[in-house]
Amino acid sequence: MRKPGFTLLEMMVVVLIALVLMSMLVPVFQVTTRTVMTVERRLSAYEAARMMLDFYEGEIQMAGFDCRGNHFGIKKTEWEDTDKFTPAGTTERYASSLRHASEISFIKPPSYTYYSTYSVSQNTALVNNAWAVDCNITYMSHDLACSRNWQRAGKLGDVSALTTSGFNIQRLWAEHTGAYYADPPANTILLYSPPDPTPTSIAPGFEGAPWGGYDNGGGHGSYVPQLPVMDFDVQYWDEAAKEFKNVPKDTAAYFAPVPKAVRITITCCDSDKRAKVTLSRIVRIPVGTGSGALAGNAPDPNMNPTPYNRLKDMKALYPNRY
Amino acid sequence: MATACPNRKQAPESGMTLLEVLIAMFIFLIGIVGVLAVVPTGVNAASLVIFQDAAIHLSSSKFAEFRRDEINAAVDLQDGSAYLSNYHEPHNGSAEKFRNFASGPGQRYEHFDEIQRYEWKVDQDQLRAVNLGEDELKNPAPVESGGAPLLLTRVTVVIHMKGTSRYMRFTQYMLGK
Repeated sequence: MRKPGFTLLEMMVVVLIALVLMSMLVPVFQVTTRTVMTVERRLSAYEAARMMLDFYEGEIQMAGFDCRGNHFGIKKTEWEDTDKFTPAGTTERYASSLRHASEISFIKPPSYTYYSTYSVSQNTALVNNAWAVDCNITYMSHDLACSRNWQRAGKLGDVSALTTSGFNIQRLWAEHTGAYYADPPANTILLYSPPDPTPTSIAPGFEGAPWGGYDNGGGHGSYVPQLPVMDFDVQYWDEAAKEFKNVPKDTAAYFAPVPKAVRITITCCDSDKRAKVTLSRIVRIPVGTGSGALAGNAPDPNMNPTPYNRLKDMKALYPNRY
Repeated sequence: MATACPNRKQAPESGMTLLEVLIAMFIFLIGIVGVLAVVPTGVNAASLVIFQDAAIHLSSSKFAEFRRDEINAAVDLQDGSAYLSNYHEPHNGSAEKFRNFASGPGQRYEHFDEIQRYEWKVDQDQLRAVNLGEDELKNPAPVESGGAPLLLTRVTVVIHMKGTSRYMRFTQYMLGK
């Protein structure tokens, strides 16, 4: 009697049908998997970009100015990366290996009131020069813009490791050092040297001085979050030209009054460096009333206060970054 | 005593026929296809989030432009106004009167990925003065009696992904001049 079960022929037919069906499914799986990964990577880049732009918009909208002077600066640097993810030679501004690293800095009211407790008769410390005025300068920067040369080479090899940088630095300004009783003289900065009414440490181009900027590592401060970003590019609104303009490479521009708006353009990639996205957001500056017009003179190469609305040579301002 | 071995008739062994195997495979295939059918839903949801992200950036930028230009929203954002005509993109010919984002070299939205996929408009039906204290909700004006109500204008910016039914609407209240 013939034993029940499959014959070799039946098995071969079944296996053949199974192979045909599975081979039909494989491309479907491949396409589906590829689509899911692509979308997930893009989503990851978009989320990183949104988090960063939301944060930066909120910070920039807190920019203020005081009654004696303004500080609103945009600095611009560019660096050639060595990462294969961004091949050289493409003409698209943010797709090539040229990384755009800006820095934006502005005065911001203090976030707490310990140093701000003035009595009614001391309406501001700028009026009562026996006291110090406390204020934050916020620096929001790109890793490449504010790092030293020896730090930068490693960063340029892996664009996915690039981040934002910078921090809020609290400074006490007074007409006399040590004017504020609770603060060591080293942390109290000369507000101005009479009869010069310019608050030197927030004057254009003077922040790199030992008492002025964050390069000296002093003062009270808190760090701006480090968020992954390949490009952090800030353009300012030129009211007359009705367009956003770039600050030239390796220069800083100090505006007074503050321009009406800036545009932040960022490029983010996922950690695997498979997808990247370039987005921009226009940010209105509530205190901005300026025309955004810059004098066309050559960048000032000296470590001296520069008139507002002129370009300053970054290599003179921050020699240790180059 | 020897026991006799019953002479049983051997029952047919159980097993599957080719037809059964084919049916099983067919059901299996339907199951696989069913699982795969869920994936596009997830991809679609992720794409929607990407669109929402882009729409948030773009609408935020448009509102920033309106505020930067210190407009009187109730007047300047009406279709055909000098402000919209001179300083913003023209209608792109769509039936819903959308406008493309200016993305040519040097223009405001030049460096926004896939900007050609998006278009925008100010919702003209929603554009109206909502003077606090005189609005339909009868909210009191934030001033003492006798004070003038705030000149607020409700502005709704609509972002649309071209060729789809995806719209995002963003409403803000803007102070008049």
